[in-house]
Amino acid sequence: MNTYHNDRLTCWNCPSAILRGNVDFRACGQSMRRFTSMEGGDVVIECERRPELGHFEPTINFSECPQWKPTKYGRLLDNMRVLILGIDGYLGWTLALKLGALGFEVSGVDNFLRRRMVREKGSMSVVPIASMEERIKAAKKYLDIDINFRKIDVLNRDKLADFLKEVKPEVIVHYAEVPSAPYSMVDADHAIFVQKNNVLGTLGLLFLMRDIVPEATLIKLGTMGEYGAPLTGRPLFEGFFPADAVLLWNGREWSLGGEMTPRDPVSFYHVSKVQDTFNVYEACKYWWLRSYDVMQGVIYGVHTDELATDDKLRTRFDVDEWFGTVVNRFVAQAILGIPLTLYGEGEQIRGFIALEDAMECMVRLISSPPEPGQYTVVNQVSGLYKLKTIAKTVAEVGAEFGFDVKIQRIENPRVESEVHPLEVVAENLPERGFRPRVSLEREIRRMFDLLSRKHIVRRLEKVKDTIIPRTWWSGDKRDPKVLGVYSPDEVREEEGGFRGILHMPLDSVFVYRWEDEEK
Amino acid sequence: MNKAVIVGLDGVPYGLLKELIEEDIMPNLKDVLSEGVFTRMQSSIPCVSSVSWSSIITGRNPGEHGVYGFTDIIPGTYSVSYHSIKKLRAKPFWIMDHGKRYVILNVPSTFPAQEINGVMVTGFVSPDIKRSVYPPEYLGILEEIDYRIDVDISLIDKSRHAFMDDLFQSLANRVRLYRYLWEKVKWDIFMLVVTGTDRLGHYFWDAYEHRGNPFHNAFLQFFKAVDHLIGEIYGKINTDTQLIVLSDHGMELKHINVYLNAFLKREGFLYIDGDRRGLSGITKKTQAFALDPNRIYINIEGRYPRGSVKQSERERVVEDLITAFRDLAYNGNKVIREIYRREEVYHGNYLDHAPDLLLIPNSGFNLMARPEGEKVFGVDNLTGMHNPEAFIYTNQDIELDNPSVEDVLKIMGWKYEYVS
Repeated sequence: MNTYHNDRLTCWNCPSAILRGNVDFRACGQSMRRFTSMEGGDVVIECERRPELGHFEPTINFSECPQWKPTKYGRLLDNMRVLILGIDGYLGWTLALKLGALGFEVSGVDNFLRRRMVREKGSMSVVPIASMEERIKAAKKYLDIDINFRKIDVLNRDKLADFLKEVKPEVIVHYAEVPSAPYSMVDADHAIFVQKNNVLGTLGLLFLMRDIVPEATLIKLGTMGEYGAPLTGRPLFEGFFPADAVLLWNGREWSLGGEMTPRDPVSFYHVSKVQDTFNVYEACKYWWLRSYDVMQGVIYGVHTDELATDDKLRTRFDVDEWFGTVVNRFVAQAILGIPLTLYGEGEQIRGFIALEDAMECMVRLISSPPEPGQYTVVNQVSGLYKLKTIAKTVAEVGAEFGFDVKIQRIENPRVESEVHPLEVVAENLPERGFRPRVSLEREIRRMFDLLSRKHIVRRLEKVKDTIIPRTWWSGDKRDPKVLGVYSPDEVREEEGGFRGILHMPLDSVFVYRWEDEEK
Repeated sequence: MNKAVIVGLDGVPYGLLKELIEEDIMPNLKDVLSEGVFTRMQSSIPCVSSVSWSSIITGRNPGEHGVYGFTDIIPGTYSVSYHSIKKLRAKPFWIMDHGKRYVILNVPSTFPAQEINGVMVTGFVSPDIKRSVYPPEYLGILEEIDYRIDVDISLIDKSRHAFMDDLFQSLANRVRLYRYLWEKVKWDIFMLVVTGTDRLGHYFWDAYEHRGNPFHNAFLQFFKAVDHLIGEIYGKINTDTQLIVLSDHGMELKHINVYLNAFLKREGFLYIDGDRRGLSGITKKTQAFALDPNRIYINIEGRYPRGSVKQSERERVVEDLITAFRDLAYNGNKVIREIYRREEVYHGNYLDHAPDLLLIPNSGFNLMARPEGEKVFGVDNLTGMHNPEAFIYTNQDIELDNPSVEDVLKIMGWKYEYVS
């Protein structure tokens, strides 16, 4: 018999468990109130999926429950109902196909804001994507996935409430936020819009979850940028200080264990994510909601098996200064012959993760739902790289594809440290069975392979002018000055700056490995 | 048969009523007892409400009705599910005779409410009030009078005063519901169970035994209120109406809790993987485990997910357990008075689901399963514990010879066949 990373989780973690109250058999008494602590008697649940069990204690292991079926990602709840907010986006669409292929019942919501914002920049997805109607048809045709889509703005609580009641999701993946730092720095209107959309959208969602689906898990997308990059080199723990952290001041000592770590957001967009973090944390505390707050590293890439099944299934790919992430933009620049743009020193270190790995992370989180009231922060990175290294790697892989790639340093339009240490702790995902499988080079190769196709190069040419950053944190709107242009050989990553340190214990838990596709 | 009224007082021992009558706390009951028979009644094994009331309403022993406790193991797991009437394998009296009209109010372990010729409001444990009422249109009146199935047991940890208030309030609301149903529903048999007496006993038995205790008077007041209820009912019935007053088990002062699973761990019978809840962490090394309050199960191979004791080894494990439990002592006092094998106390078609061993404690030792923890002995904020000394009163002029809870239907004159 195989062992799965989530074998030992129980009904306590399962969204099918409906809390019914507490029973205290010391005095054969009961309380009709729903409280969730073990104090004051045993928790009584009913199983939405197995009503024949009646009322019982929430201790059945996933390994003992026929509803949690073995898959290559661990045990997954049979036909689990997932609602993806922001399903039309880069991540949302990719996840919809991934989960659909795994047998999830996929529902999704989007108001196509991302398409409008990219148009506002004068750009478009360089990988062509069809209308949602067409995408859903293609998902059905090529992957036999049914997607229940509704066009809803998450800020429209009445509509969202109706859809939640219809779908009764067991997990909600919340990708429906504006994901751009520069967009939030354009002007007051943009900053206010980003914070309103992100913060109030999530806040309203929390109230709806409390009232409609309190058993569902909220997987909320945050960003590693919430932490900033402390110049002291203090490790970036997963949201909270570990038990043995200590504050020393004036000859006295306090434990910091379990306290939230400081956040140091680096744009008004990042501030919105920090505000979300507090709102979600409080909701879990007040209402026993459960959530994973995912501090995603800089995402990049084009590939999952599902996306690659047919061109009609591809997810969007943005390269403009607002919505293109750095690796994605670098590959586009390499193809277009624009020297890769390092901001300032180029010694910035960031956590990165490939699209395919990020999707596996989501499945792993979905497979291990938190307990009622549990709010857990997950640092979702698969490696730490200097921007210099990223540029060099893109240039080297680009050379394999016949591109002569240059690297340039430009003025930094952002306010950020350009030389800083970075130490990241990422234990929660490995504990849930995640192992990074996609190397930087491998995904960059896949990106060149796709983006250098003729029809995409033609689209890249059209949006060429949107790539170079013109949005300054100061409020300026101008092209940054070029500080130097280099050939990849001249860029020495080992010189200057710091090296990133990643704590990611990959052997801490036994994980059932399916056949590794890279072999 | 004439009309019948059954008043149940959960967890009230024979001896307590004798004392309260003598002390003039229950003058109405004293009047009632002036005719008919009032005697001790043997509770079920184990002497807990779910088992005992199941025997009372079916006239059957657990081997026949299949209820051995508040909880049972869910097949294929080590998790326990709570009793529901769907698991009752014998017919309660209101199913046996559809010709009569019934009001069945607050009988424990009758959830979820089932179709009945009359009205049913289930007793504890009833996790969902919407499914506690038949016919459903009576839900409205429950909401109107703020009816509660049970006191809010969580209050006790916050305030004993608030808990005591809630006991009185719950009783008052139950009385309102009984009055309403008494008038509005046509019935032949009216059964009403008072649950607060059990809760009162559990948390305030010390208050009863010690006159100086600040809750002593409140304890007596509660029984005065119960006495008032009995007097009111007595005043309403005709002389040809049968009146039964009874309890399901008794209550006595608790000395100390004995945590059976901790003992089984200490003696090497039980191994639980530490970071899992309840019994779900049982490992293959386990030979036996306990369920509340006094039930011991052998971890038989094939019956449980990590069952490891072969049928051929069962008898040896049983013997080892008996030896270990006979030696269990606290400050030199033996904890266990009697140990029964299941076939010694049960008979019927559902022996398979019965615990392998049943432990009967000496006075003051409160047996609990409790899978967590390593300590075998401990205390909590409960001062009263169940004992087997129930009582029964009937206004009929009949002889009762050492009756038990299984005899109640016979005492009422029911003639019935066992249907499995």
